[in-house]
Amino acid sequence: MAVNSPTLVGPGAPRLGTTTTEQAARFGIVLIAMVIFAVFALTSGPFATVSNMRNILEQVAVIGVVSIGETAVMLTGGIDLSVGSNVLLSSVIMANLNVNHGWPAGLAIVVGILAALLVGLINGVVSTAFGIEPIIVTLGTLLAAGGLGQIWLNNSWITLHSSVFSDVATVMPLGIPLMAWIMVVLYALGAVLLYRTTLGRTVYLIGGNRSGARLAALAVNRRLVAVYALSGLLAGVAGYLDAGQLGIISQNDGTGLQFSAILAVLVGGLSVKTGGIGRVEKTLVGTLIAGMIANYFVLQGVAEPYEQAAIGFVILVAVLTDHVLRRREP
Amino acid sequence: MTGTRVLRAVRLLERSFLVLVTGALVILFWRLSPGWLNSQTVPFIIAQNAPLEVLAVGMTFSMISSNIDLSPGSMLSLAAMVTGLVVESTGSLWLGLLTALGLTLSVGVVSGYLVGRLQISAIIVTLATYIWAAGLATAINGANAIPITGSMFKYLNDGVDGWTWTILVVVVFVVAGQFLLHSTKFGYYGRAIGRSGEFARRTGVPVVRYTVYVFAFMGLAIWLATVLSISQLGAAQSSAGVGLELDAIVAVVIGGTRLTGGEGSVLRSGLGAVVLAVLSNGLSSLGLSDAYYDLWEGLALIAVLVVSVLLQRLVVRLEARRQVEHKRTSAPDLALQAA
Repeated sequence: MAVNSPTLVGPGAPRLGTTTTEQAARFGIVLIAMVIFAVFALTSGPFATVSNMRNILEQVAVIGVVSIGETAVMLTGGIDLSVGSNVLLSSVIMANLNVNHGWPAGLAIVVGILAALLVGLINGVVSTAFGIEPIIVTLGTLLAAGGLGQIWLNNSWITLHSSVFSDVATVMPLGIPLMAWIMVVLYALGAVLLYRTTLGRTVYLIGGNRSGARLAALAVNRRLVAVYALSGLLAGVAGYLDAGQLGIISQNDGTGLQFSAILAVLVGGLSVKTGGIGRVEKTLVGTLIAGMIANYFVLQGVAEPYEQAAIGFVILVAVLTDHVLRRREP
Repeated sequence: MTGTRVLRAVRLLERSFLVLVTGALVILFWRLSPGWLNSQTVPFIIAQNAPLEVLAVGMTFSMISSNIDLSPGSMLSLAAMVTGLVVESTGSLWLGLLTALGLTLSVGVVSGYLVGRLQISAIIVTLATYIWAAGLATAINGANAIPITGSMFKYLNDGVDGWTWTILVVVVFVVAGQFLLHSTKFGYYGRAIGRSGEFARRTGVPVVRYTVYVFAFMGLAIWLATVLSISQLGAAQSSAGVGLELDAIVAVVIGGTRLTGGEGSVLRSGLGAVVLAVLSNGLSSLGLSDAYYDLWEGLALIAVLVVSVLLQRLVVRLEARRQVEHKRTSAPDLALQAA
């Protein structure tokens, strides 16, 4: 794996890929997305319409935002299973404070996002301070945060009335829903964070070679806590978008969302084998591919369970492709 | 001398921590809802959670070899639905159960190959299975249950004073698992792979083959759990296994097996499953919903882990201090000898 050292120092390494497989690994996912788009556009009339594109962008926004944090976490070689429950928890807190306790919407949203941030902080602190694997810690917070969210929903649902929530889906600057804009801006910020800041560079180093990062006197644990906190924060923002999009908060919001996010990250080509390889904008493409597939299945009238089964196989294909491409790398 | 006594006490606490937690939970629920604890409670709790206990045995092997398996819940649902379909169309229960066994074993072998030979992360491979198997299980019969009856199931649910044959099956499987883990090559190699796959490979352990065995063994455990689940419900249900993989992981982790691999015990995993069973049963006896179970299960997982890590660190620190003291007391002798 020593041959991977050029990628290990960061994704911004200016070296241009020379071999076909390197080019394929770099741009393949965009190509695949375009092929999928073309096939879907040709086989389904309503697919390639402006209003349907708008639908897809709106549908992927929540998962897209969560996937940014998941990308950072998975780049470090960890995993965050708690994001699905975290989305539910934050949106329940927002709705509860706003509707049942009469808090102003803005304040309620801030508190909800902070709660999600807190869950992320707990993930980071517990996993680093006690040396417990992230998958186990985030499994614990997945259960706890999900349980707490459902308890506060009290077997019922909350209907939102404030326009501060519904605006994310109804206000459309340049014909694109606000929530899609928020997602795109967050991806841009995520790219800057990962490629242009110390934290971002450290993320790649931790994933590529953790003990090396420690030996280089980097504050590995503190950076890891920051990454998990970021994932929590983004889950909170996604909770706000989810609340705004649906207008009703109910028990199953966010269920299984962590797996959709992991799927988007993997389809985007993040290396699960070596860690430290992957790019956040490719995760966006991965999210869009998953969104297009889901949307196409709905348009074609395919039942939801079949869609789920297909997505499971897509992950396998994506991972095997990743394996084949990386094995051929010189 | 007092140092040794403290060390011994902390070690005892560390070792019996899980039993203490179980005892504390039982006493807590017994105080909170007086009618909860009676002669039927213990067998009922064990029998009710039989699929979880069986899966926890398989999961111990998965996690001890550092190959966490997220698929058992979905695979259980799928295997149950496949059994149902075959029974419905052929009328033969045995054929249905055989087909299910073939399914769980072959999926296990393929996963084991992908993880062992192609070196793809077990989390990703089994996550994919978790998703597609759940989809297929729901799709197969439009989420409708298929009733399955048979004399075998009557036996499984038969027993004396609530101590059914199901419980015997679970106990035998747990004991067999413990034997496999500690007294056979399979268990020894599994632990070696978990400690370090690379090291195991270099010392001549056939890592790929034994990784496949670990996943196949999980397949066997899933099948047995499926049989017990069908016998409990009297039907194949597409949601029979939902969430069971997470419960099984929690049970194994509470039982002291860690994902870093190498060490663990099937008996303790079984006890971990009992802790969850007591928690679930106790909370529902208080009239609290599943959401409360999720909340407390998650908190218990983190709390138990943190406390056990702290206890381990304390033991290590006390041992180190004792060694320093030992050296200090024996140093004058050496000085005398040198003189």
